Amino acid sequence: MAKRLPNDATPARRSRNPLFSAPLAMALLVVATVTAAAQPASDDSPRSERSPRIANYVMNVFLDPATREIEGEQTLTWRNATDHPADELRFHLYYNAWLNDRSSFLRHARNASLPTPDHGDEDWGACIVKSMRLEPGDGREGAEVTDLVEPISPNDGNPHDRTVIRVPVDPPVAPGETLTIRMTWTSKVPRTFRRTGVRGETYFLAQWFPKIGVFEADGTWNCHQFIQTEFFADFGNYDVRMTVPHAWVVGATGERIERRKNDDGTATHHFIQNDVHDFAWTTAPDYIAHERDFEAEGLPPVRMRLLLRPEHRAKKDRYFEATATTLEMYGQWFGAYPYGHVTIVDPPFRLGAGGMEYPTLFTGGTRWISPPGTFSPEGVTIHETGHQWWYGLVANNEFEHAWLDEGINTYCDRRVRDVRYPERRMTRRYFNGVVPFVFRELPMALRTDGADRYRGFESVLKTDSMAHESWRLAPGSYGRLSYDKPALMLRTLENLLGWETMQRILRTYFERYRFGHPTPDDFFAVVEEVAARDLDWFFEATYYGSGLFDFAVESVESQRITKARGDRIGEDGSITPIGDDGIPPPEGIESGAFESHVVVRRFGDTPFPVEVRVTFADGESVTETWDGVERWKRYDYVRSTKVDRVEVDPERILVLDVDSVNNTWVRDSKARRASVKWSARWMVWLQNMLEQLASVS
Amino acid sequence: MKTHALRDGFGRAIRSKRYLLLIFLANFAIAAAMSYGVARSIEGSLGSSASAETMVDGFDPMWFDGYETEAAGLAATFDPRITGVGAVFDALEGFLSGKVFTGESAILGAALLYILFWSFLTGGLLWRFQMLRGEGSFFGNCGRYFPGMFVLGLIGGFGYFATFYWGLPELRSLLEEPMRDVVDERQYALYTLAEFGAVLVAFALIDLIVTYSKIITVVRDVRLLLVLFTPFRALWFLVCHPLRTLGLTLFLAWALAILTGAYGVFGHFYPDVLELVGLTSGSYGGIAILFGAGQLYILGRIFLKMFYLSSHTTLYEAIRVLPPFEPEDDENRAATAREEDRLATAAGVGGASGGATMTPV
Ligand SMILES: [Zn+2]
Repeated sequence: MAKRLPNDATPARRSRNPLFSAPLAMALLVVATVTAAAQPASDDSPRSERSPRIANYVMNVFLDPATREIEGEQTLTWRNATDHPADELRFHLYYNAWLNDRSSFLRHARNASLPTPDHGDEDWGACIVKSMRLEPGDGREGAEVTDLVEPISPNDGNPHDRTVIRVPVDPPVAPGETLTIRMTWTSKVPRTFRRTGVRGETYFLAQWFPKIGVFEADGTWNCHQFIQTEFFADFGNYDVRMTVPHAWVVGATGERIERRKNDDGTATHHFIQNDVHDFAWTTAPDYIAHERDFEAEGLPPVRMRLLLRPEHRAKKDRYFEATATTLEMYGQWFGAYPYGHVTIVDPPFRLGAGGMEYPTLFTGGTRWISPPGTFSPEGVTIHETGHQWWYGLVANNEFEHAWLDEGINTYCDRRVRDVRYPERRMTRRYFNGVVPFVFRELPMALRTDGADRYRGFESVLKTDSMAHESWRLAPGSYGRLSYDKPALMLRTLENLLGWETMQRILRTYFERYRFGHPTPDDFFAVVEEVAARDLDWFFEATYYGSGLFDFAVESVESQRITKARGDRIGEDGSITPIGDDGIPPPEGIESGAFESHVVVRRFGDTPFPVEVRVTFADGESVTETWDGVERWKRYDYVRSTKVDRVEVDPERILVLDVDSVNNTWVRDSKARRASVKWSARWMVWLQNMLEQLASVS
Repeated sequence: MKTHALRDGFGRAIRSKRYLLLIFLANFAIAAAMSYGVARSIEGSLGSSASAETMVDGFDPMWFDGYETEAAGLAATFDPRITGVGAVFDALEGFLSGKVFTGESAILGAALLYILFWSFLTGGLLWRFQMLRGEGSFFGNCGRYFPGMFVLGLIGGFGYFATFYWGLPELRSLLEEPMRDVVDERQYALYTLAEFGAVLVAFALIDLIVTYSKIITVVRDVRLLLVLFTPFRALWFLVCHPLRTLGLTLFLAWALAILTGAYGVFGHFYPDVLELVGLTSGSYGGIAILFGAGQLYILGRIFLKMFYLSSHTTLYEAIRVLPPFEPEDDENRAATAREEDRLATAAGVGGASGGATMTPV
């Protein structure tokens, strides 16, 4: 597709969605006015469709770099979109996950052997609600509720955890009622934990304000403690004013509509974004801002804003290109990116905020020295841009089903890589990672290529099932089961159904659940609907199960058929030796043919239908279909030539197979040659090592 | 005088090429014996699988992932990224960070053997590298000076350990505070450079002291007990002649860097070279080309080390043993010619009277 990437200097141009139609917009505007009172006035969201706008924030916040504290005032307009009255409100105070080391987050991190940074006294985080007031309206009297706020731990009862608070509402918020809550709060910005915080003078602020939970259709609060997962929130509109030292650069969710210089040496940046479910921002004195327009046929234009570290100047084009490529490919495959802008933040080295997605903004990350072969920043940029679809627009509950966005996105980003960046090479970094070296000869495997043992699949896949809620997944298995296994599951599905069908599945899923909160069942239903076939068995094996997949060639034998020897039973039952003449082979089988036996095995616990391809020396081959139910299967052949090659799952449909090496058998093995080639290289390495060590002699 | 030491040292190292070959063969033999096991392990792991085919002309990351988990002992040190100049970085990084000491014990054992072999030959080499050498055979002098070389080797080894166990942690804790809030990777790279550079300089200094101790031991024919004092004499010599000794060392370090760079460039263009000559990386010809380049690199390294010994010996002799001449005239051809005349005369005199017992001038 024709894609034009004009230079940075193109004048600002408000991007407009081509799907925009005035009558539809008017109609929606009317609906918006009726259903959501007290919305921010500005409305530049996609006119073709918009979110339910349940949680809407107007915030005014002040960052003081001297104390690393943010003082905030916020007005939250929240609508009870369920059929149940809400007699309490629940809020996340994520920064309290780093209030002390007894929080559920840090307890879990230690339990899962995740690195827990060594923070000094000044480096902990906090989010403290200083006041809370329910505003009058809808026949409701205003009420001061600060004293009624209490911390709760709905997930694990940990009394030291302060990441969730509740406040009773009397009278309860009626179905359809909109409640306005005014709050003041202070957030102490930690030295970076889990992708938010400060290092030096660079702030990356995510999950930084008191955020209301999700009141679900069944009348219960979905407001988990912050333990090990990512996030979940309702869509709404954000109108945020951030005050920082005046020379500092600010990037945030949404678009900046004003920057006002204040008399006290600060500046206030006003950002607005409708129809998103989170708001993140960053500020530092030394970001360099670049802008570039994305345009591609059939897709609405997007203004890309890149906040780049000075030492990463050379990566500018690579960031823009990877973002534009993803906007184009995801846009064409699944549906258009509806916001007219996206902000790419290049976080400083070691800030610990790289590679994370937020609505209309994401963090990339690269190293000072990273030639194109290192695929940095491309890899992370593609993935995080992709999250604008899976997470940003299709907003599943990441506390419970993190795989729905991480897994789907990991699967999809691989496709962008395959199409646009097929050359991938192994890289190694030396000297504290400063010096990279790209090995031209060595192709790199992606996490979607196969479930190999080395990368921890064998143990982790057995540990837990993907169907388990993400926040309670066994320690250490969250990453594998939220990213790798689902990506491999989807890749396997693609191999079964074909990319065309897979793309239609994802497009349907995207269109149906854009601005919504789908569950795994919703996804499975779309898969079966579009694929028009029953795939329960597939999800049973891959999603609900925690068994391994491992198919192998057990043994291959080919013997020349000779005349039978032994005894012969006469018609009278008498037994006489056959003698030297023997019995010739049955008719139709020429003497000198080969009788071959191939035994294939299923070592893994989970059955799966696979093909077995047997190739003979004359070049002919037979493809068998094995249901994979039994633990082993034998195939017998009588052919004029020997078996030359056997492959179980020759097309590599089942990429979840944890050992692909044992899937093949080749008569004329090249192992000797390969061992010479690689051990010769190893030998030179050792020779050099000896010489290096001998330099102390 | 430095260029003289280089030129003359080069000639002396070249004239010892049979010992260069000897060292190279020792290195080759140890490595070959050990790589046999690795070859068997790779062959066994690939077995009859089709991955072997992929590994012949390319690389199968899925195979390697499995191999890496199951390989034990020496075989576990196999990584495709030890190819070419990757091996040089790997060894240097391991050496400068002390990681080699926690490495595979078979490799440490082999290295120890090789170090002993080097120690044994050093006495003979230094004896040969002298302009004014006394009587005896090469191996006779290897044996004669071995105890001294061994003791000095131990002192050098101790210096390395001390740098790694005390110096480096001390340096790291010193850098920790200023590094804590560094967000600009260029700054971090500078600190890294400082850290590795400091270790490198420490090792270079230790090595210079030990090398000059060895030179003094041989040139002065120091008795074993007194060998323990040679490091002080060496240090004094280095303090008196810092520019010449360090300059010579830097020149040789630069030569090693050039050699490594050339090896790296070759490694980078290896696939193109193969394409040019119509070979694949898995053909025996293709394997031989890369292996041959590796052997040339190892030969080069060994030669540079011999050159290091010979040029420093030349320098020491020129300053301390031989009659004085005008060192300022280094760049002057006429002076160089004069200097050569003097050296030739001195060598004649030295040869007659037995250089090892000459009194310093
Ligand atoms: Zn992700």
